[in-house]
Amino acid sequence: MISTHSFRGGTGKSNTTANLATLLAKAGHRVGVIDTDIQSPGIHVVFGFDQTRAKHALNDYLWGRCRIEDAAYDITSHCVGKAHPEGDRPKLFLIPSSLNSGEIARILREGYDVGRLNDGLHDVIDRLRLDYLLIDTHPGVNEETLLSIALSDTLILILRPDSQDFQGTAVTVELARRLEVPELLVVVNKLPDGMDMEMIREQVEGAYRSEVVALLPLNAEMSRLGSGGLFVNRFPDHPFTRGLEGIVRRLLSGRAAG
Amino acid sequence: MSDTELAITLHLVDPADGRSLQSWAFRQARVTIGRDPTADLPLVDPYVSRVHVELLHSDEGWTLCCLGRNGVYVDSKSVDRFRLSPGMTFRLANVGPMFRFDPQAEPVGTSTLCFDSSSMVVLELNPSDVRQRVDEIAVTDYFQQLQQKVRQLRRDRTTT
Repeated sequence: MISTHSFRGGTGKSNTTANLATLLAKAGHRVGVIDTDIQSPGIHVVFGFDQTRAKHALNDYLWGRCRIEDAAYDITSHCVGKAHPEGDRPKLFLIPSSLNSGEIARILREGYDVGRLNDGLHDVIDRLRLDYLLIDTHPGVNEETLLSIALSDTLILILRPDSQDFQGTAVTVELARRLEVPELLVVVNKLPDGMDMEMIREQVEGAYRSEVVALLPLNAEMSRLGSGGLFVNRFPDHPFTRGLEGIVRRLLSGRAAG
Repeated sequence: MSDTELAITLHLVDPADGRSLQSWAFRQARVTIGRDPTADLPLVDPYVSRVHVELLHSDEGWTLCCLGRNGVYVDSKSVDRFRLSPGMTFRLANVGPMFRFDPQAEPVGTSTLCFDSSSMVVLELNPSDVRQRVDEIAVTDYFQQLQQKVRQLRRDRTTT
């Protein structure tokens, strides 16, 4: 189980998570992505997933209206391509959050049962036989994000190279340590041209005492693409894609996170 | 127009405590700040436009003009044009770099017109602030319960 988190919005978290999941699937794995950013769901856009297609969302599971696997959608053919529809691998599933404002308000008002989300995460791994489950969290530290962080085997923290992100992320690093998250990886995203990458790496690794797995460039192609579409499919040779492939190799060399 | 009126210093300051991180001295009637390497004060920051700010000297003194996409903020308010007074701070984009305006040059020899773009992105960490924020969260009932719960879950998972 892998959570991606950032201290502030706009770090490219959902984009990174979606593209990472796609690359993991393409490497021949069964991958699930769950959008626990219930307050501001967004990752479905990157996958080009039409929410109107979704009969159920994570919210329905949390309220006991469906099983967790009923809220999972197979997006393999659309996002990974050239897979045998009958084949076992690769597979990519998305568990979206509801875009319905009433549903969002209810979660904010009532909260949800920690235990139920925990059960759901484990159940979906079992029932969909996932090799990896990626959890896209809400930015900032709140009860939901702490829960996702606490449950993960690997936490990927995404930050931009500025002092506010650096400072805020340091708080999450320390909280994750106290929650005994087994593996902490840092991704520095949106590095402007000409920035000294090794200096940034040294500063981040020195301060956080955790590994920087990727330094990803700020790229114009990504801005043009917006959140609409999978970058790794469109630009397979771009440095950003190469950087993500580095993270995938790193994750694959670790233990399976299922 | 006397030469001394044109002498200004811009300090890049830490938004948290106003500490000056780096200074630039100028002696000219127009000063630009931006990501463009040809700006008078070039800086590498994702929030900063190519030409983000123009400081213009006139008979009335110095005026700041915002040309950047992400705006310029004075006291957390977005401004298009602003008359600068000594010691005033302004920020490029509401989360970008912050500068203090001083209407005279630093004593000769202490200013650095020579500019190394990578030095702009020194990532500042304030350990006591981190500790305080961590502690504020860590003492909550929610966090304590979560800590116990995941400890239990991890134990269960390794034993099953």
